[in-house]
Amino acid sequence: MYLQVKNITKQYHHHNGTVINALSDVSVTIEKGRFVTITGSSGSGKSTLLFILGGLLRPSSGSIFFNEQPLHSAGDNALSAFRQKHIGYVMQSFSLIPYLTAEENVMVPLSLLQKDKKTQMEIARELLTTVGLSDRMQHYPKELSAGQQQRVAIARALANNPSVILADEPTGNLDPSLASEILTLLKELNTKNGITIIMVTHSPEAAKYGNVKIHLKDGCVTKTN
Amino acid sequence: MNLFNLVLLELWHRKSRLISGLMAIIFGIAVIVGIRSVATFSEKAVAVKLDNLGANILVLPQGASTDDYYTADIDAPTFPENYVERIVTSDLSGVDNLSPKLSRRVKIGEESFVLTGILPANEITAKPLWQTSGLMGAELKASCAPSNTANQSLGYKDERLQRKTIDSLAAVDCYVGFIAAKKLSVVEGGKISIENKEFNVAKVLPETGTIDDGRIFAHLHTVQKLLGIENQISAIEIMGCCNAISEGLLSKMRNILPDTRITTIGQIVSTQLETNKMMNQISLIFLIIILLVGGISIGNYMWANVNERKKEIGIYRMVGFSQSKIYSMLLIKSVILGFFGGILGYIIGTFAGIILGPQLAGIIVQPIAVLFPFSILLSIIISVIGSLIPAYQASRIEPYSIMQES
Ligand SMILES: Nc1ncnc2c1ncn2[C@@H]1O[C@H](COP(=O)(O)OP(=O)(O)OP(=O)(O)O)[C@@H](O)[C@H]1O
Ligand SMILES: [Mg+2]
Repeated sequence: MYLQVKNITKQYHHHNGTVINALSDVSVTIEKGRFVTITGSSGSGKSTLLFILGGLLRPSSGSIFFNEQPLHSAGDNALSAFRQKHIGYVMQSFSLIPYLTAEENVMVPLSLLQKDKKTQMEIARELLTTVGLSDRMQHYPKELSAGQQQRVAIARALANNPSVILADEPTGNLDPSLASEILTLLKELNTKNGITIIMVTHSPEAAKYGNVKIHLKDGCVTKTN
Repeated sequence: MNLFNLVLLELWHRKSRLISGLMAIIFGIAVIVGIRSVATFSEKAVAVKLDNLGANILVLPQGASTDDYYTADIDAPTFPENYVERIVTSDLSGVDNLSPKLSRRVKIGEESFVLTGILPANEITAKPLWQTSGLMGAELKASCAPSNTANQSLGYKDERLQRKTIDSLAAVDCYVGFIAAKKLSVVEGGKISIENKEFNVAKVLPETGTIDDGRIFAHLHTVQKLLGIENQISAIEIMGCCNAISEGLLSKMRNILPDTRITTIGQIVSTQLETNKMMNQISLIFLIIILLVGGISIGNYMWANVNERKKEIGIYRMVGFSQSKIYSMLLIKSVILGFFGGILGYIIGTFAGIILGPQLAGIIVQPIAVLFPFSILLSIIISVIGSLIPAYQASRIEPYSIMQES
């Protein structure tokens, strides 16, 4: 057992008084080293599930464990520390900080560690080289193409040496050839570095990269294999 | 990279908006610094002027009334002359120009006059303020001594030197007040007999319009001998520094001279104290307004800033920043804002004082160093207080909902 959610539900209380059941009674166990894809139609609860798995959102009920450690009862500091230590996020829209260069963006998670600036810089440069951006270190997000921005985001997700990368439609904003580059990169991280990947995707093309598939429909898991 | 670097980078990125956010606080600090600068130097100017008016503290024997001092009745109480010594040898600062006096009513012919014994060398300089305190804070206090070079450099004239007409007085000489001279019809170089003793009229004093015009002055020790009350005096006139008086000089003197009555030549001093009080009240009112306006405007800027940065804050949260880290980032930012607001406010306020002081109050204003750390501190406090709520708001931003929006 590695990352596990048990009987979780999530309700959103809309400000007009209605309650939306985004997830109802979802149980999933994700083993270490897998490439998991989450598919389902729009509004089926994919992002909600992903954020709960990553400690970014609390379920309304149910439990969540990471290596037997309960996260559903953890406080903000503990959850933040969990994200910082174990999780790397890659979002559909690149979620880079506009006033930081590529290198500085990758250094942001490192700033939480007791590492001096030189070490932080070395790590950032190494990671940017890994994702093929050795010649774009000092560029600001707006000076980078969409694909390059997504690579910076992946480099940042890798900065804290995470065991899990959560990706929410990482290729949603990219054209097919760029998309396959990014997916190949994620696959490599999964096979070479043993990083568990959990990826939400709309595209059946992208879903093929996974070896565990979760399908959601109206907040319920309809299929896992 | 650390929180501080991140905050600086963010500030730099949005620097144009920074100025508008800081405007109110810079302006506020500038107003306070300007008012304080002008007020301090005008207090100083007023104090110097008042001190130039002459004695403002009167030491009388216990039980004597101020009337006794003027009428000098035959049985008016006295006290030992060595009280002067007590003051001189004490560690009191802000006393200057002690002049002991013995006054008695005497008859010359049919008329009655007040004979006043004085010490001609009445410049018994007793530890003036500028000798006992020389550090930064002292510059803010008006010096009692008009001859003080600092005062002169500020354009205050030494008016007291012109008053000092009596500097030597022989045992057989006397000075006769303007009116007394008329009544006695004596002129300079003439002679008068008081209590069977011949005096040379060394000088007829020019008209002053005060009770001194009706008096005859002789050497204190001669008068004491003549009247048979040796080593006794009926009053000590003192020039006390106005600031020293407001800081409790009188009660300190009462401790040294227990069996005396010490009063100020009230109005002069109380006017000065009033002015100081009013200036301080105006500053206080401004301080409160600035606290409110500055705090609110910084808070408003921070609020807008937090809303604009929601997504960015969500990203920080996503990569593992805790709520308290976000909170700290915003407070660090408010400290930096306050710091620069304080510096700019001080500079602008000081310049305003230097430029406007001579035009509005007719005084020369110089930068006051102690206001510098004060400005920075005040500005930081205002900025931090104004930012508390927006910072809290920022720390509560749900990273997840922000991610959803984009
Ligand atoms: N902050 C929110 N407040 C209220 N309702 C929300 C909120 N976020 C999501 N929902 C609702 O919860 C349900 C699940 O949302 P979620 O974002 O998990 O869907 P999704 O599968 O990721 O959809 P998409 O593929 O379009 O990204 C949706 O019906 C959505 O309208
Ligand atoms: Mg989604």
